[in-house]
Amino acid sequence: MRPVFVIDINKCVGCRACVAACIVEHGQPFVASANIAAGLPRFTRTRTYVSWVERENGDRPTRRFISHLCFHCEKTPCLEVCPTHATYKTPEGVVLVDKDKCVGCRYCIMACPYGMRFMPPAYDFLKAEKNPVVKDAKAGTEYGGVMFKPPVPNKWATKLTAVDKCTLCYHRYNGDGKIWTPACVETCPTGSRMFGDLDDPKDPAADLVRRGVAKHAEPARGTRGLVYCVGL
Amino acid sequence: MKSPAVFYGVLILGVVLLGIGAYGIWEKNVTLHTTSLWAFMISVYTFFALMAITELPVSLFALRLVRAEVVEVVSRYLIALSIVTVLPAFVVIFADLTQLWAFPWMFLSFNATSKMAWMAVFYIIFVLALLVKLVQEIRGGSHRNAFWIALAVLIFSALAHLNLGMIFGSSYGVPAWYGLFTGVYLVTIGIVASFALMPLALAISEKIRHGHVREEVREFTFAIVSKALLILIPLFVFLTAWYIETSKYSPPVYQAVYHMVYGALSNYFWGIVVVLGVLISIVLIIVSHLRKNFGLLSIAALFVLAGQFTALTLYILAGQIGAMQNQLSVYGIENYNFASDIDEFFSPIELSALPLAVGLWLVLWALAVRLLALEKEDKAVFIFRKIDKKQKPKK
Repeated sequence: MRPVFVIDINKCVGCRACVAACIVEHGQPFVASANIAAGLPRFTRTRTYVSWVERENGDRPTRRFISHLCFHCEKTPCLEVCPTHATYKTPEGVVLVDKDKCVGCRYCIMACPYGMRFMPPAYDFLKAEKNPVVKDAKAGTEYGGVMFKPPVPNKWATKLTAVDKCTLCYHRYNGDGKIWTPACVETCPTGSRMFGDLDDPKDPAADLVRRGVAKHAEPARGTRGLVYCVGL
Repeated sequence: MKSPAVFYGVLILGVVLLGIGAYGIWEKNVTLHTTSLWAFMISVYTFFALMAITELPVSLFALRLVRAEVVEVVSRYLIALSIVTVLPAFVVIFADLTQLWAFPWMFLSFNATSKMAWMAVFYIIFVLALLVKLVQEIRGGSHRNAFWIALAVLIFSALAHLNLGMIFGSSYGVPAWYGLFTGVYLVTIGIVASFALMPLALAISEKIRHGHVREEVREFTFAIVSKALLILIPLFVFLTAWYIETSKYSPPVYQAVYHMVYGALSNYFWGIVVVLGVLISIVLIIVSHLRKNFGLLSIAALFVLAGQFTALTLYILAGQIGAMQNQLSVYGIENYNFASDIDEFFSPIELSALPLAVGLWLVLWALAVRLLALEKEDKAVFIFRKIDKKQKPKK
């Protein structure tokens, strides 16, 4: 099995359902911050994010929705710099963090050329909890029942004191050699996010990669990886 | 001890600063405060770790690369100063880690490709080598042994400090800290700062032990320290100018230099690094050297330290801003607000690392001067000073 993750930028409508699904799946603390930079790479503080990029193209304004997540690089700078081998790669090529081995030096955050590693925003979360709006929402949740399902327990779920990143929902893989479906792919309403197996000749996502329609986002960096984009 | 007031004054100031810093670190642990950047705490521990090269003149003298007998008077002081300066760096590093209990994995699951892992190894060996050298200096011994120990200290000092610089230099995600240049630049900052630290540390130790600065120590300061600073500060200026001049060939470096030299950080750069840390300092060092004025040299040294620390901090901060802007431009994202980066970099919890490190340094240095056998006349038990009760003045 050779997994590939394909993002079709042309199909994305920017609903960010993928972000919500990811947050719920892994129990990530999420703070809707007033900071204008929040959400951009290295500021995301969530495992995946979709930024809205608006530009004037001649007389016509355009808006595109750019997905960000870990590229699970083949040449892995974060793995090379990790002093404790907390960052490791599975046989399928998925880059993961052993939360118990991570010392929290954040060297991998500095090494990631795509800014897709982060420390969970525990401090911001603590501050936000004191905000009246959040207090009201919390009270409402307690009164009206559960808003979200609880996170799926797994050893790569968010831990507040360790570096966090996308795992491609590796906890959903049961080791049988068959491709699994990450939470964001399952949730995407337009099929913009796809996950496939390059070894499967009938797989539509893998077909986009094989035909060269889907490409690496930043080929000049030479890190390659499991994530490909269409229309970037 | 001729001046107990100086000893207790330094100790109390150190404890107060240590308390302020410790409160900040306690807050950090309670609130789990972390930054998305490598922030002010990183620049504090990097500065203290780099500054621990104060034993350099001692090693160069032992290797017969410097022919200055005046070094012998302060040799034990300078070795102890290296150890005392590197210890606050260790403490701030540990305070910065979010999972300190995972630290043993640095050795149990050693990653040979990680310069961070090598930093732990090199600095531990460096400190042990310094301790051996201090023991050898205190107990005396053959010149042959002194030569090999000095060589070992020098090699591990170079490895530890260059490797620390290369932790930044090899960071793939921050191209504005590029390659070997960062290693050389940071080590240069470390050497300049370590020479600037010497007159300040010696002023404290001399006041505590003798009540005044001895003539031999003045002689060492004006024969070695002031001259070294007058050579090294222009080297620092050259490397900084090189960084600015070559930035036009690399977009992320240009972004970093823009913020540092012309943008939001330019007041710090021109005010503290250039005017205070270079121009005023050089004038004061020249005047103090000509007049053999130790006090003036100490003031100049303080300015140099401020300039070098600011240069290091700006280099670390501006590099990350440059990387961020360059990276986001790939996706056509232009609404990046670097002011929030700067706020996060200098958050109150991050700033608490400075009083923590300075306070600890003051406490350790005062205790080292009081307790260690740092002068030829001192009788020693291992490295500690044996106080002969018979020699105590009668009440």
